[in-house]
Amino acid sequence: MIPYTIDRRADSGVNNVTLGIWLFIASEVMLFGALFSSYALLRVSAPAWPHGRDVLGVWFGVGNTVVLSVMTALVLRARAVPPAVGRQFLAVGTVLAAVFLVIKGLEWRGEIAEGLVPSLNTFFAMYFTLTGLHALHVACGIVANVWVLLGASRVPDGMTSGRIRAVALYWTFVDVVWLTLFLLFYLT
Amino acid sequence: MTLAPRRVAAAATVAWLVVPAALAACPVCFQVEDGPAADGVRVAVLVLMGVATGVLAGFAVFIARFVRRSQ
Repeated sequence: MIPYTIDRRADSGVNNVTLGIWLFIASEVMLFGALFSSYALLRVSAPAWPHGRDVLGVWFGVGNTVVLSVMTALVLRARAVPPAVGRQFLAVGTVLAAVFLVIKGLEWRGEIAEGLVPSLNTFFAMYFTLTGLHALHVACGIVANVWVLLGASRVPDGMTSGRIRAVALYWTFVDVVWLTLFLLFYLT
Repeated sequence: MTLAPRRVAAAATVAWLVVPAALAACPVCFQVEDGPAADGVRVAVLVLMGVATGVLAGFAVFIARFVRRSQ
């Protein structure tokens, strides 16, 4: 059994939590990498590919980009401040992540109401698959944030700081994926 | 080489001589005319190789760092 320590290991230079979250992110990169590869295959081989600006609500995308970027900045900032303040940043960030999901839900509802569903064409099939998987990651991140916040009163501050560092890495990854999706679907 | 691998190798050689097309890779990469489908596959393979290379490079950097710190 791997002991739960918050100290950096002398051999690796990182603690077990950081190493674990990096390994998890590596597996997530491969998951999204496979889907981006599928996107490239379908887009390049498609006889026609709609322009995102014409069929999607770009302002929904812009709004979500701003919300998620601010959220990520807050969580990254939470690593560098005392744990009590860091928890407040994390709480505000969690609310912003929920706002992201609400905006995404409103966008999907409008698109589905207009008949823009996955079965319409490969563009919307990939759009709903990738943004849906990303939204699932946002929802899981919210659960992780709540777990960190609720557990903060029961564990030492050092442990909470380690958890905040771990979720900050995760949210950075989620933000980078969203920026890529925004570029691929809304701007090109 | 034990008997079973020898038999497999012999069977593969015979199959390669008798029905070479059946052993070729899928026609998406071989024996296909250039077109959007072939271009799409090439781009997709490049994207996937880029992602995999990036992840493996990350592992290599970490292992190198691990070795350096242990010395």
